[in-house]
Formats: sequence, structure tokens, C-alpha cells
Amino acid sequence: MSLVILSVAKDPPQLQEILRLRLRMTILTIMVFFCFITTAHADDFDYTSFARIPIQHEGRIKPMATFALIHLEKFSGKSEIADTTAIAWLAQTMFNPAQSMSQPLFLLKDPDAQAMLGLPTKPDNRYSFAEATEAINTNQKLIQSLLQIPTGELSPGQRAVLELHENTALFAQITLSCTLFLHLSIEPQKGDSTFIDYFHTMPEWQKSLQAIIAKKGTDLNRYTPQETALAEAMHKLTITLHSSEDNTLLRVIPPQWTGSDAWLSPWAIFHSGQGSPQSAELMQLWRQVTTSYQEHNAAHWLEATQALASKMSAAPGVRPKALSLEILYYQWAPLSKSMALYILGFALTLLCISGLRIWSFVRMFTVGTVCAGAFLHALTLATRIYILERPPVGTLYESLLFVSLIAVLFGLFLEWRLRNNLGLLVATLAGSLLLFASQSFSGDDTMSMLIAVLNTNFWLATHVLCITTGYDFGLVAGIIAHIHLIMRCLGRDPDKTRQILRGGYGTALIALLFTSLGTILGGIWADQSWCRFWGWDPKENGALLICLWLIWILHGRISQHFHERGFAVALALLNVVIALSWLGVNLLSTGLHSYGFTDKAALSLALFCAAEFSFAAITYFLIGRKDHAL
Amino acid sequence: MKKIAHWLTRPILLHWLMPYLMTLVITGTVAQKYIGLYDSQRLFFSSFLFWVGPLPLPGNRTITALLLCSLLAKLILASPWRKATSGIFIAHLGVLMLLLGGLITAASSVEGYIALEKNETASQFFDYHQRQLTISKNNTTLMQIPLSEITKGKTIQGLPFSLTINALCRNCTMAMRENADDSFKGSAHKVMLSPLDTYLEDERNLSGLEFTVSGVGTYIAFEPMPNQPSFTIGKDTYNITLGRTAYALPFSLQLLDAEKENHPGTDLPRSYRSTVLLSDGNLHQRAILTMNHPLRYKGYTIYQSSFNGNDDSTQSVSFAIVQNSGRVFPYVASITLCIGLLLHLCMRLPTLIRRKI
Amino acid sequence: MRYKLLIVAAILALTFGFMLYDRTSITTDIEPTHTQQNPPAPDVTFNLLNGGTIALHSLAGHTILLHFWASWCIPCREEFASLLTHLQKTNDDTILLAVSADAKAQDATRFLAPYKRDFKPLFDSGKVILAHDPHHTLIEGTFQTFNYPETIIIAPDFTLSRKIIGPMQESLKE
Repeated sequence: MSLVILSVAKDPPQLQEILRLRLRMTILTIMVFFCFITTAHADDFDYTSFARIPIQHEGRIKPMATFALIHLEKFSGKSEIADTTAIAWLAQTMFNPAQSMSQPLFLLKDPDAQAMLGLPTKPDNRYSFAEATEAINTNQKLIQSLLQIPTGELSPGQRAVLELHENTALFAQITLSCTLFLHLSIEPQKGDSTFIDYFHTMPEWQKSLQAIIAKKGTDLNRYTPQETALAEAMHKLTITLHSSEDNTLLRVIPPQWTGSDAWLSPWAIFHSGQGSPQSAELMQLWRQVTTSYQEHNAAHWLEATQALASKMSAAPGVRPKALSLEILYYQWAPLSKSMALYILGFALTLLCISGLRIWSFVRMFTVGTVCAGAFLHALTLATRIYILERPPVGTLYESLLFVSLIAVLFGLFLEWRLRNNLGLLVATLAGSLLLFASQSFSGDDTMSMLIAVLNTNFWLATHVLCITTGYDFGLVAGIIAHIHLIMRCLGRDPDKTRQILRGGYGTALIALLFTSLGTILGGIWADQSWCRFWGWDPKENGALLICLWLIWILHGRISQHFHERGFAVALALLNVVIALSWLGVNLLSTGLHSYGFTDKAALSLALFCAAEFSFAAITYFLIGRKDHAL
Repeated sequence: MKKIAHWLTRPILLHWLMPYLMTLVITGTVAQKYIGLYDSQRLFFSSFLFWVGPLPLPGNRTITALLLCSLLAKLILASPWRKATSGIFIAHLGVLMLLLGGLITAASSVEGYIALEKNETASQFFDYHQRQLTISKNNTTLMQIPLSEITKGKTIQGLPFSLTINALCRNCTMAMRENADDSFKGSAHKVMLSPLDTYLEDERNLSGLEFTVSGVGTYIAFEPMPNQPSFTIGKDTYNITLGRTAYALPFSLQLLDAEKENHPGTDLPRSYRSTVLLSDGNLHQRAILTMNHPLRYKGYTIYQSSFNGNDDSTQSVSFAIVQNSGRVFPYVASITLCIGLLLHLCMRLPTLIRRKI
Repeated sequence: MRYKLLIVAAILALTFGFMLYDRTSITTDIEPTHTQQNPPAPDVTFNLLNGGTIALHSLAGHTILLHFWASWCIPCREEFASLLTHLQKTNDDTILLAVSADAKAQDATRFLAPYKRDFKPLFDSGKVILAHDPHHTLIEGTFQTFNYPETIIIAPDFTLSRKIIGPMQESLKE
């Protein structure tokens, strides 16, 4: 074995990055298997306090539980793995990295990606870190060439390969994050035998080793056992030190000195010199947490994690209640329960409107179910507002949640006014469909911070809330129009159907108020941020289109250019206009509103539009025939 | 005249203009993906007329002008005051304000940018899109011609010499010129302009032209070139510069400091912040510009636009600057529209959403 | 008709009022600066290089430059000279508490010999205190210093004011 001399040649940045990664991966594999002792097998640890420890990630202070969940879902697509919760998985990865290396974790479903990397097909498509890094190391040239291709031009397989590359790098960061405190298998043993214990002796050992090399060269076969032990010890310490140089993911130490609000990882504290007596206490606690896990001492683990969580709850910027609430939010998943209640409510509402004689308490039960769903839904949004300290409309996912809640609440209001099950139908349909649509975007939701132009609570609270409310009422008006058209096709009482359409007309008026006001507020916000009120940006044009459609059909109805049937169909098609304007413009991938882009929903959107047009055409034709027959 | 005015008040006009306008908006939006925002805007939204093959079709400005006239005629001639329709009247007034503001903005607004390095001062700003050819004599501007008015083969009139355009391109790059004779002067002796496909983002296009001054030689003027062509005729020195159209400011701005703040531990920008010194005669005032908080002075609005530099220190900053007399109209329009619609809703909604007795 | 004209007049007045305000004012936002309280310095006791101990708290009321160095640290040589020169020039009550990270006291003494000679009056005045922490118990364990030189400035109210990582040449000028 020769001593490690680290250097990076003058290569293009991507190659440098890959070389660094390859080196790190190799170092990590060697280090983890040969350097660190552990006997931990952590099935019976209490993770409650560990979950509450705050960490700064993606610009926000969140509980360790959320950090664990985000990464486990990112790597494996699941919130639990091998019957281990996300937080337990994280603890194992951080404090017992050797065991994590061989655990099947990384999900790679794309067969092209598997073929490109030479990975064998597996039933569950999950690969361990060791398998994944070996495949990546073997295909360095491929990775380098993929990094040169613009993201929009990558095939799904190529994207999956790069995603695996990124995920393994992140995983490596997590496994290396606590190596400052892990036991090292080094002779002679000192103290707890962590890197910190050995660090201050390194200069002295370095001197001794240099003297040995000067005398005997670098051939270990010529060394005495003590000299060999010294050389190995220095080797392990050196690679531990160098592999940790940019280990910054685990930001668990608050900034110690004024001028910055970026938290630091333990290794960053070590390398940057930003430590203080206050951070020394925290580092000591982290050391105790690590040691107790490695020694499989559940009692000490509980004590250490409780002490650390308690100490961190007083750190500046930490809101212990928000952390606890966030843990509950992800554990309890109130949104899926809410969606289930809406679907149940929808089924019960169909029963109520089927014409069967049912007990009145079934109707009451239906209303109760929808109200319970709305309560959980509102609770979800309120929780998000409390945690993020901003209006809940910063991302597409959040705006879908908001829109669906307003639709449900308006449906319940309609039901209270009309008492004819129309409101229940609107509420349950809108609630379940929109929440279902939001599932497509929930994977990217990490309750993230917003970019500079969106980072303004005033405009989020006015423009975005206003326009999403407008979309909401527009969708509700569209649903009412659908119900009217179905009832007309089924030949129901004309007075009732006319009354329903009048409700739709009123809802469309409200939609016009909110969309036009929201659009103008958006223009005013653009005037404040981008120096012009209107720039014909696709998102702006989309909002304008909804306003124009509403103006057209409402004026057309007033001036009798639209008869009842035509108005109902045009109102039903409002859903298409809203879907295209709200989600469809994102598919153009152009314009200044470049913060809601997604290519996930293209096919679903196309299918939805096709279905709506077909429905509109069929009902228009059928009702026309009925009217002529009369 | 009265007949036309009454015809304008008819609702059928709106009924047919709306679908056309919506089609125009959809077409112009989709076109942006293929021809870029700037060209799409020029073709569909900022034009009175555009051609689809041999067929002329009205552009957005024509439609908006018709809508404005129709609305004005309706408000004056066909909107009797009634309490029940007061909300509608006020709402329509709001729309009218919006359209009027749009008209004023289209007619009078000027927008551009200033790029400043730390401690640098500027008292003019540059257009994002319009380029111009500036001919100056002994450092005094003789003539400024918009590039849009220059075509290949054109001879510029009104100069004390003959200047003919040999070639021009909206987006160019430079290529080596081989076997150049002595008639090619300056950089034209070594390089020539080669046209490229235009970028969708017009700001990225680099324009250039090659011209011949009779009796002197052939030169290249290319936007990014630091040394633009210069020649002497008799005792006079002439400079030919191709660049973005410049507009003078009635005040000056000096960049004192600038910083970009990321969300901690990420590369996601949280805020941008610049400190500038605004000087106008005896007035010297420090001001801070951040995202969503521009600086307004004498009808000009200066916005924080972009940063060039690393996280901890920044090397240069771009400010967007707009002079728009119609700026306040959308604010007034939104208030008016909101009041009008709310009033109408409050009057009409209870009857629309009501249980049948 | 009267009402119509009234409403139109109100809107026009609002518009022109806005326009006038826009043309005559300078409007921008100036954000307030954030202030953060400094944490207290720890009450620790250092071993002096020549024997004995000193409690950090006993130096409260002075500005303390708590400087960590080692004889094998090359930038520390120039840094030490700059610190002593700065201390000599200033008339305030700043005290330099220089803590050596050397494993052996002799290495530290050997390093300091030329400075003691060149800055004798300063050393005699008591403004320079020399300490030794061979096991890095305080250097690493309390003050989290792992690289040298580093200096922590402790304010007269015994709070941790600032930490300077590496040579503090430029900072001294401030």
C-alpha cells in the first residue's frame, strides 16, 4: 500500500467533479469497511427525540424526521424501507454506514438506464450503494457525456442515470456526515478513538512518519509492526480528513458568529473554523449520540438525543412547535384522509341523488363526511402556513391544495343555500378530483423556500390567492354546468335544471371578479418586480384567456347571443380553459414565470381536454335533439 | 358619425371580437415557443395588422382599439344610470381605464437597462432590443439611425461621405477572412461577419454590419466589439458605433454596493439588494433597491434585475429602467373594477343562488 | 347622468393624483438592519506557559484577543509579529492572551524567544499573557479551533464579539 497523494489534474469542471466523486466513493468504501468499528443493531432505539432535532435543509429549518423522509423517498421512492422507518434508516446511515452500503436502496426502474449502467434486472429494481457506485465508477465516460447534454434533451433513461449519480453522491454525504464522531479502528487507541481524539496528534505523527519514510522509503514490508501501525493510522486519518472537506449536508449547528444565517455541518465547523464554545457543547452532544448508537446503548441514546433536542429547541430561528407539527403532518398525512373522505362523500352523495328513499341521517352523514374532509383539508393548509410562515400558494402543488379547499367550502355553502345535493356533488367532485390531481406534484413537495421574486408574502397573499380563488370558482361553475347538462340529457325537471344553471351563472360572476382582479394584481406585481405591467408571458396570457372566456360567455348570455344550451356548454368548457391556462402553459417551458414548470401532466391534460370536448359535443347534440323533439 | 357610434354600442361586436381575440392570444402564446417572446409580441400583440400568407388579419392593437371605442360608446350612449346596474357601470369604467392605460403605455413607454460595476456611475440607459448605428464626428454625434431602418445595399444619406451597407445580420458571429485586400480596414481586414440563427431571446442576439465608406475602405461594426470603426477624412475623425439605442436620464446613478443573499445552505436566491446614489443637481440621495421594491424618481422606475458575481461579492449589477406615463392606470383600474364587480355581486348574488320557494 | 359624471370625475381625480405623486416623490424601501446579541465567553482557566494558571474571567473589562497558535504553523510567525506591533501602537486596554497548541512547552518557548526580545517592554507591561494547552482540551474542546492561527475577540463586557480565522492582518486595521 502506498501513501495517498491527492491531486486533481487540470481537467474540465465536470470531469473534475466526477474524479472527485470517484475518489470520494473509493475512499468512502475503504474507510467504511476498514476504518470504523460498530456493533450497532438499532431495532430497539426510541427515535422520538432524534426525529425532533432541527436541521437546516433547502434554506429552511426542519425536523430530522422530514430530512430523513425526503431523502429516503428520493432514493427509494418509499417512506419506509425493509420495515424500517425513515428516521431509523437515517440513524443507521449516519451512525452505522457500513451496514447501509449493502442495503438495497436506490430505485432504478428504467430498463434503458439499467442497461446503460450494466446493472442486472431485479424484481424490485432496487440497488445498494455498493452496486450503484460500482456501476457509476465503471461508466465514468458515459456520465461525463450525459452531464454535457442540456437537461431538456435527455431521454428518460439518461435522466434516470444522472439521478442515480446525484442520489449516490447525496447518500455518500449522509454516510460521511458523522465520521468526525465515529470510532476509528486505529492503533494505538486513544480516548473514544474518534477522529477528534487523534487530530491534534497528527502533526507529531506526521513528523515521525516523514522520518521513517526518509530512512526506510515507502515500502511497508521494511517497517516494524509499530511503524506499519503508524503509517496505517495516518493513512486512515488523512483520508477521513480529505473526504470530509465538502461535507455540508448535515447542517445541524446554528451559525455561531454574526454575519451569516447559514447553519453548518459538524465537518464544516471543523474545516471552516466557525466553531465557538456554544457549538462545542452541541458537538459534544452529537458525539454522545453517535457513541451511544454505536455501542447499542438505548438508554444513553435516549438521554443524548433528548439533551440534544432540548438544547437545539432554544437555538435562534428554531420553532419547536413548528417542528413537532411538521413531524405530525408527515406521520398522520391528513390530506390522504381528507381525500378518502371526499371520495366516500361522493359515493354517498350519488346515493342521495339517486332517487332512492334513504333515511335522512344518511344525508346528514354525507354532509358530516364532507365537512370532516374539509376540516382535515383546512387543517393541512393551516399547518403548512404555520410551518412555512407564508400563504400556501407558492408552488403548483400548494395552489392545487388551496383551490380544492375553496371549491369544497363553496360547495358546502351552496348546499346550505340550495339544499338540493348540488353543493355536495360540487364539493366532493372538486375536492377528490383536485386532490387526486395534486398527487402528481406531491413527490416534489418538500415545503421548500421560494425564489427571490416569489419571496414576498404580500403579493403571494393577494395576487396568487386571488387568482387561484378565481380558478376555483371557475372550476365550480364548470362542474355546475356539467351537472346541468347531465340533468338535461336525463330529462330532469326543467325548472330545477334552470335553477342549477343560474347558480352556475352566479358562480361564474364570482369567478370573473377574482380572476380579473387577480390578473390585474399579477400585473401590478410584475410592474413592481419586472418593470412592466403586462408582457404577454404565457402564464399572463393564460390568466387573460380565462377572463376573456368568462366575459364572452357572460355577456353572450346577457345579450341572448348564447341560448341556455350554448351557455351551459360554454360554461362546462371553462374547465378546459382553466386547465390549459393554469397547467398547460407550463408545458411550453418558456416565459418569465419559470417557477412552476413540470412535464408530468401533459398526457393527463390532453386526455382531460379530449374527454371534456367529447362530453360538450355529445350533450349539446343530445339536448338539441330533445329540444327539437319538443 | 352617430350611426357608427350607435353601431359600436351593439353587443354583437363584443360577441364576435372576443373569440377572435382569444384565438389571437392562444396563437401568440404558442408561437413564443418557436419564434421567441419578442418576435411573437411584435407580430401578434403589438401590431395593427399581420399577414398569414396573402391574407391580412387584424392584430391585437386593432382589436383592442375597437373594444375601447365600443366600450366608450356604450358608456356614453347606452348606459342609463340605474341603481341595479351601477356596479356594471363602474366595472366597465375600470375596464376602460385599463384599456386607456394600455394605450398610453404602448404609445409612450420606454424601457431599457443599465449595467453598472461597483462605484460606476451612469446617466443613460440602453434599450433591450432596439439597436442603432451612431455616426459621430470629432466625438459629436452626427446621426443616429435605428438598425431596423437599415437594409443591405442602402446608402446612408445626409453624411459628408458616402456610406453603403454591404451586409448586415441580426445575429452574427465572426469568421476569419482570407485573402483580404487593403480596402478592408481595421478588424475587417482579419475577420468577417457570419450570420447565425437568431435566438428566441432577442437580448442574446448580437447584431453586426459591414459597410463601405467610399474613398476610405470597408469596415465592420459588431455589437460586442470594444473597438468600433474609426477613420479620418481631412481633419475630421469619424466614429461609427453599432449598439443598443441609448436614452439619456435626467439624473445619474452610482452603484455603491450590491449583494445577493441565498436561502441559507442553498444556491436558491432569497433576495437581491443594491445600494445606489441618486444624484440630480444638488440632490444626492442613497437608496436601496431590492427584488419587489424598485426605486421611483421623476417618472422613471428602476428595478433590481440581475447580478453577475459570486455569492459573497458581486462584480456588476443590471438594473431595468422604465419610463411609463400610463403606470398608474392599472392601479386605478383594479380598484374601480373591484368596486364595480363587488357592488354588482352584492346586488345580484342572493337572487342567483337562492332556494326555490 | 349626474352620478355618472361624478363617478368619472372621482376616477380621473384619483388617476391624476397618483400620477402627480409618482412624478414628484422618490420612493423606495430601506430595510432595517438586524442586530444579534453576542453570547457570553466561557469561564475557563488556562495553564500559563511558565507555570500557574489564569482564569479568563479575571481579564473581564478589557478587550481580549484570544489568539491560538502553534510553533509549526508558518503563518503564525508573521501573525504574531503583527499582533504585537498592533498592541504596541494602541494605547487602549487590549490584552493579548496567546495560547500555544504545541505538544511540548519547549517548542513554544523557542518560538517566542525572538518576540520576547524585540517586544520586551510589551511583555513586561502585562499586556501579553502566554498560555499553553498541549492536549487541546480548551483549544479544540471549548473553542473549537482546529486550524491555526485563529483569534477570538472578547469584548470588555465578556461576550464573544468576533472570530477571525487565519491571519488577521486586514482586520487589525479596523
